[in-house]
Amino acid sequence: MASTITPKLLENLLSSFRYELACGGDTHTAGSSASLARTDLDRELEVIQRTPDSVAAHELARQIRSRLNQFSLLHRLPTELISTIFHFVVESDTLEGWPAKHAVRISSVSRLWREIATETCATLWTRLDPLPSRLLDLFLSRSGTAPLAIAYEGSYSRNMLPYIHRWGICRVQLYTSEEPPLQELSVPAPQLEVLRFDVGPRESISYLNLFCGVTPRLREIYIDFSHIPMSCPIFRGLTGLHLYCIAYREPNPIDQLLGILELCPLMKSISFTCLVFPTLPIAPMPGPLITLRYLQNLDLEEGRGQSRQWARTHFLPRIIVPNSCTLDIGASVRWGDDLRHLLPQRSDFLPNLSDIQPVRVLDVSCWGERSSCVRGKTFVSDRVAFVLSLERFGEPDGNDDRNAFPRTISSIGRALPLPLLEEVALSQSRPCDSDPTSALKSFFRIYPSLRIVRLRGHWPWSSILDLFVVTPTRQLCPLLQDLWLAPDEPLDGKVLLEVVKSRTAPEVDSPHLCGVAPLQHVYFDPNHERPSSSVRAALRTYVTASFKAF
Amino acid sequence: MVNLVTSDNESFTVEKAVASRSVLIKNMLEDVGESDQPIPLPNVTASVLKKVLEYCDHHKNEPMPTSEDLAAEDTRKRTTDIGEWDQKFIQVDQEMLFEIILAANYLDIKPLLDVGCKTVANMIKGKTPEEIRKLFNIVNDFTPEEEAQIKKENEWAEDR
Repeated sequence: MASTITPKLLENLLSSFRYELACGGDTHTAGSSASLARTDLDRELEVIQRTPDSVAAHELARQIRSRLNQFSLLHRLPTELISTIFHFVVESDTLEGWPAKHAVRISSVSRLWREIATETCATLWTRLDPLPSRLLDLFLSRSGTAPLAIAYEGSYSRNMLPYIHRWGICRVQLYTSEEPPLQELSVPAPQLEVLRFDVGPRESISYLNLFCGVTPRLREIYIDFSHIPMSCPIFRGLTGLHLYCIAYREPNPIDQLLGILELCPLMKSISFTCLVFPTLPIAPMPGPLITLRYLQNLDLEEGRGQSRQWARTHFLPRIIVPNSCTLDIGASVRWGDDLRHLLPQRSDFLPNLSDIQPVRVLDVSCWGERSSCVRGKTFVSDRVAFVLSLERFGEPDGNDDRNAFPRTISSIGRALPLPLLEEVALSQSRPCDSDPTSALKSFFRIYPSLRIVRLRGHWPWSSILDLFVVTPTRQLCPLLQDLWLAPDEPLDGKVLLEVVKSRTAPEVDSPHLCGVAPLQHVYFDPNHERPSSSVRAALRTYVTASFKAF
Repeated sequence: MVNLVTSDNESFTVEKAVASRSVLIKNMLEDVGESDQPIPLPNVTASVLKKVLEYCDHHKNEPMPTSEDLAAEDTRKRTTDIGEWDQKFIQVDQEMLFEIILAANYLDIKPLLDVGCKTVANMIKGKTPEEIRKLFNIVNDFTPEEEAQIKKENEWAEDR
């Protein structure tokens, strides 16, 4: 076929197609006319692709392909929405190198995508995680003047130093002496907003004049393992401060830490994990209270050893946080301690927080004998209001239970008055050494508003289930509607049936169901021990009994 | 109640709280005050509006994003996480997906617009240019010179 097309005929064909392309027509028109236009273009492209190789034919074919692309549904979106999608692709990926790869791939799809990506989306090209040096100039030019996100690690980092004035997000991670020295960072970083710093426990950093202290836009600092003196001027005007595994040997370290917070009145997020303060006195030092008016997250995890109680004794009593702040506090406690020992002595710190009062979902987990965690959620967007984690150390005294759970569960009611609690999940990952039944009984008594109870793991199931049997003298969880069970041991079907019967079909003249809502559902996690089919069939006479993972 | 009329002349009567998830409609209602007049939506068809209203109804009790929230979005790190209900809601064919995005943009429903854009972003993530073209029915329209340059840029980006 191609051999039958003469150059003259080809030129005529090309002219005719060029004319049609120029006339265009609205390709966004829906319906049959759009399909027709698309079919026409497909046909024209097919003919051109059969013609002898020529520059003109190539160019015309390319133009037809560009026109065909207008039929892509995605191209119905205006440029600014396509640009938004590109930003979601690039900025949501945290894996090293991938944001840059996404930018390159996006710009390689079509002319339109390339035009949008390279001409209207400078910030797509700002992620300079290790890039091949041949691409560095490309990214620098396409990113215009936008602040850069760079990784200062390895020999590659030297290429980044001339652009330190454009650094917006910087991760400094140096471990060997062959890498660029830290002294190179003693120049101002006027655009720096986020700093992640991990160079290990080097003594030399104490003398480092990091960024000359000129970081007027710096808002978030993450420091792992490395000691930067708290007097360094970079610690001001922050909205986030995250410190992990650092030893502060200077005198009055808590006062210095609080001093930083005083210089950061808009602070929103704090996490201090496993900090060590060897010079800390045992007794708390008196001092002014610092109000963190905008704090949204407070995450404190004490380490073990010498400064084991620094947060509870020295830090928490010196700060005032807003009601809406999410608290995540983890600590090592003695065997005899309970949840209340996690809270500062000031009586108004936790129980009166108004965002804790509406907590409706409580999740209590125990791992082994030593660890337990209590997590409270509100129903609003499933927001976690607090997480309190206890890790017991040493050995229990003669009077203490070897099991953390009963002590934790029995202290919840006193530490956390939760008048609106509707749902509780209780899980134990190992068999109990001591019987938690009595602690659970007190717990259910304190929270009569519970409608949903979930039990998972290792329990003395018969005695725990027996708590839910309604009798004339005992009506725990009177509003219970849903019971979720994920047992790690076989269940006693007889007790379970008794629970269900007592809550749905009491004796005719029995007055004890008065005020007790009928149980409606019993769910079994299919990944745990399953009740026999006869038990399930018997349960279904009274309630819905089905398998559902939770 | 509010009466909305679509481009294909279908009428929807919905609660004010539902219709007001759209900033466009909310502003219109504030401008005209109490009125029984139907609100014409010439850029939205009935099938798309039905879907959009399903979203608005589900989220009607949530706080509206404030201008502060919107301003903070520029500084916050973007994620493409989508809530469980929203994920199921947006499991539609491409045609409907892009229609929902366009409608959310026109009606000014930022959270729905985000759900749509994030869904498309998640479809793109991790794919090669060729796979993206196939997905969205796009053909390669680069010139040979552009093609050569792109090939060089992509050598590094080809690893998965």
